[in-house]
Amino acid sequence: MIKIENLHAKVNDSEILNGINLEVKRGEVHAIMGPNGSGKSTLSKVIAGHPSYEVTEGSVTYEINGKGKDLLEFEPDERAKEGIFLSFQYPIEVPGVSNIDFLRESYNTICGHQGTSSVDEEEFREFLKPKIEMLDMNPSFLNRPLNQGFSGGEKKKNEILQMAVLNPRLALLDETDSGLDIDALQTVASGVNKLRSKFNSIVLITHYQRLLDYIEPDYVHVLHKGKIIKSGGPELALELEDKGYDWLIN
Amino acid sequence: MEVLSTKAFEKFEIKNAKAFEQFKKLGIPDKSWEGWQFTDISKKFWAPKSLVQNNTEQAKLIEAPFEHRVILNNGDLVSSNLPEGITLKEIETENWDTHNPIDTMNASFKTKTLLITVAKKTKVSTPILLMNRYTAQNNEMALTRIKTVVEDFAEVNFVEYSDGDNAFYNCSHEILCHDNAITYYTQVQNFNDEAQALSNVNSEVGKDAHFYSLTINLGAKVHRQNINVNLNASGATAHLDGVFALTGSQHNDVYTTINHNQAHTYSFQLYKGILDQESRGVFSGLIHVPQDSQKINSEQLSKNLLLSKKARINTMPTLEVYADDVKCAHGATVGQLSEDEIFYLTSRGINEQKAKKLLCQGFGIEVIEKLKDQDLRQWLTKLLVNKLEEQDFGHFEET
Repeated sequence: MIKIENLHAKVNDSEILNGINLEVKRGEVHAIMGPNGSGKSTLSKVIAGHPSYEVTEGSVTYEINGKGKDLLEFEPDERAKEGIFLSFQYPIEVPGVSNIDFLRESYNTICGHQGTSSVDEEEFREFLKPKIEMLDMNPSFLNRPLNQGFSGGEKKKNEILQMAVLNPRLALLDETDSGLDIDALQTVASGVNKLRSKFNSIVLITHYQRLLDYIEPDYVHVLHKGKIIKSGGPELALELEDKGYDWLIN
Repeated sequence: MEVLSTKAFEKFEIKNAKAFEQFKKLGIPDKSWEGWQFTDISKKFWAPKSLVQNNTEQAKLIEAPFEHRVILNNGDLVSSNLPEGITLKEIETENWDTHNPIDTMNASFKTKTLLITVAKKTKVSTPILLMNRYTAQNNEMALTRIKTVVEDFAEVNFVEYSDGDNAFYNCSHEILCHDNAITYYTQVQNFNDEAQALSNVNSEVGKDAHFYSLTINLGAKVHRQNINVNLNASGATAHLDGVFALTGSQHNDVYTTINHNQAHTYSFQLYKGILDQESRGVFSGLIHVPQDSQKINSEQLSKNLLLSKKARINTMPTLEVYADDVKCAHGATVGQLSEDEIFYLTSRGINEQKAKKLLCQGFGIEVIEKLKDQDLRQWLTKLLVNKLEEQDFGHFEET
């Protein structure tokens, strides 16, 4: 699905990524863990195409219609149209644009690109219904301005709702567990699990093992100073929970 | 093109010699005038060529979902459909603001005033459209003069929509909001890119009365708007909100004056500017609180979004406060769209241009969303969005 080789990136002249190598295959779930400031969020933003980050070395190859393409050549909206989705750690509030209008605009743009026909508002509301229920969201959220005045947990649920609507091939979930209470975490995790399939891939970025109790990864990687310093199976996360990061770093 | 001076008007048929003498005496404001320092009218405006001939040709109507309407053509009444309790007649122009160059100019040439009276206790909360359209062309001068009287305990919701081609416009309003009355007055100014427009609002607000003014400035090459409010008895409250969206080399200058003439009077102002390309915006607001006017609450906020390096905004609050037990807050912000905001939307497949437009829309709409009537909110939102779409708000130079 995606192959990252020797990826270096910087923001405002400070190097954040220092040679990342990572391959995620179709159907796999990878967890990326690491201490604060290790570059986890940067990695997800670089993959999604945030313009503030400059790639200085290395490559990201993404599979489109069975062919490996240079992802770094694509604008962020083009990446989204090709099935890349980033769930934001801090979703942006947009006053004056209703959640449902935004979702429908996004759905029609992305799914239109992928060959599906556009839906009107009524059809779209029907389509959203089970997804809203799955995430235990209040339907009134659809009519409110995008993320405006949403609590931390509501914003995260809204991100996963977007994921459910857009059905991405590669989902990058950046700290989706932060700011969630235990009930909301279970709801969100079970939502993600329902969206998990052998056709798509998920990269989970998290500080804590907690999320991985609910969404079991196939692989766990530890990021430190912009490099993956250790990879393993789900048992690695448990070991980190037990021992912290120090034993790997020192 | 001839420069704007009082002399340039002498060739027209002067209809009110007294007003014209006052206008000549005042002269055209220049930068040395208090409150006019950011827009030199004498340099920014060209003199009008002639007075518009009020021919039978009528400008086309904009679509609007409002049943009750008053239609004007070049400032003259054409037709109306008003609910019970609201009456309309054209009267001789009898009073004007003798110290105001815009209003004396208007009164010099406009002998008829459209008088709208909302009778005591009449309550009509659905919007009433005042369609103020013009056929003026090629820098002809066209004028509108409206006096609105909202009597005690009445409530009304007017929406005035002005549009026209490349002419010289002068619109003058007097809005009297009597005791316990509630007046909503929205003005949409959507002239074409070559139009020159002057606009003046004088409002008197009585005991426990509320005056809500919303101005949406979309068109015109140059536009200067004065809004003067007198809060004359305790409980008198003014809400002045506005949004302007400017592109190309448009210049829009809003100047508000609020006189808290009595104790226990209140004013709230929020003005938002969206400026692209080489446009220029000005917001200045004077709040005057004399010594005996205690227990005043006054808020003023100017928020602006600059979309290009060459766009400029001047924003300046002026407080003249002589009383000591008052609350006056004022503030101004000037910002740009943030990369994080744009990225959030583009990461959802929305292209960069569209993302920027959505963010501008979200920024501007705040003042519209305060309105109670849903049809009106939707209609005004559409006008703002159309401006952001059609006027190519979106070449968005790199900032």
